[in-house]
Amino acid sequence: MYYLFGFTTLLLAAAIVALFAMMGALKASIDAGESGGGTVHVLPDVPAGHAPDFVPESIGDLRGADRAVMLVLSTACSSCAEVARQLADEPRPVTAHDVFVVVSTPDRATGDAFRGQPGLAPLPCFVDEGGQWVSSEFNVRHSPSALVFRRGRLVSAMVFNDIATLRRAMATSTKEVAA
Amino acid sequence: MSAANAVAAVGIYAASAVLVCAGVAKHAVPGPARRAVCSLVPRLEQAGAPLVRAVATIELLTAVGLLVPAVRPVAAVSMAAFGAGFAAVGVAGMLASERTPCGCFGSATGRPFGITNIAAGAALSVVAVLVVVNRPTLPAMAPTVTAALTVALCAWLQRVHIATLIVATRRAALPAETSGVR
Repeated sequence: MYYLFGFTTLLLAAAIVALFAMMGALKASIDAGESGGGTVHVLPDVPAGHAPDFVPESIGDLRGADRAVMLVLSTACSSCAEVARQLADEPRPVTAHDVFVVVSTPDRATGDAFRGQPGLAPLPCFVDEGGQWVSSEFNVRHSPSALVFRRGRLVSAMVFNDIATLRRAMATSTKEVAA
Repeated sequence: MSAANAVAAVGIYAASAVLVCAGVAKHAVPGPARRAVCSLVPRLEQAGAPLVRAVATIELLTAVGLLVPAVRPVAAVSMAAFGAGFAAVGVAGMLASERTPCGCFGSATGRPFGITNIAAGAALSVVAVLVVVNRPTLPAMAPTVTAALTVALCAWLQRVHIATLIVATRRAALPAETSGVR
């Protein structure tokens, strides 16, 4: 009887631990968004409304997607590596948008190694040597950045450093557009 | 009960509480521990959160096993293995000068792998040896004592969040005029 009571209280204690652990994770996530740990800056000089002349085959579905977001990650930036890690935790980072990835890299081998990370492997991905395609088509030379498309046309582009913050920014802009 | 038995018994309570806190927290929030482990061993990136949850499950089984006389020696061996593992990642973290928070209790902030892990690992190993050598007899209330220690350890680990909650609750209870809201 004592044992039964004891293990029941232990179960309740475990529930308390789980509750506080999740609360801590939630607070850390909110703090990261509020403290500037996650920031989003809109890129002003992108050709909004532009439909790319050429879309690489590996991300060809970008043309036909109703709503899409293209994440531009560089193999040379540490924030991009962190974003790739975050994608492993959140396989569908931006709801209601198809997600595509462009890996900007000085050489093919480095890009292929980068795109092999668990967070990127399930996503349609194009390795952009020298960042030529993304800079010539969209005038984007920053990373990590997110290019938002509507029916194959560029709507906006933003630099970010945290998936959760990007998601909030996109949810806000989607509501504004809908309104 | 001899002094060695008493030390072993107290060690079991403490070790079980630590393992319950660590196991449950990592189950609920595996991300920080995954990042910490992967920062040391990038190859484990493929395994991800399931690996962390598998380790957390073994931690929980070990914690419960320590409280059940029939399986206590097996749980002690498992605890010794955890002790060695904790110490090993502590040493590896120090050698690599790694700054990623260890996520041992599910927190995304805090200390990286280092001296704390080495000390905790050594302590677990010592308790495991005492359990195997002395085979202590625990009272029937052992799980209750462990539960109380678990709650106390959780309160200590989450003291910042608890203090924030208390302050927020007190502010909410203040009359509108006092808090400047009309």
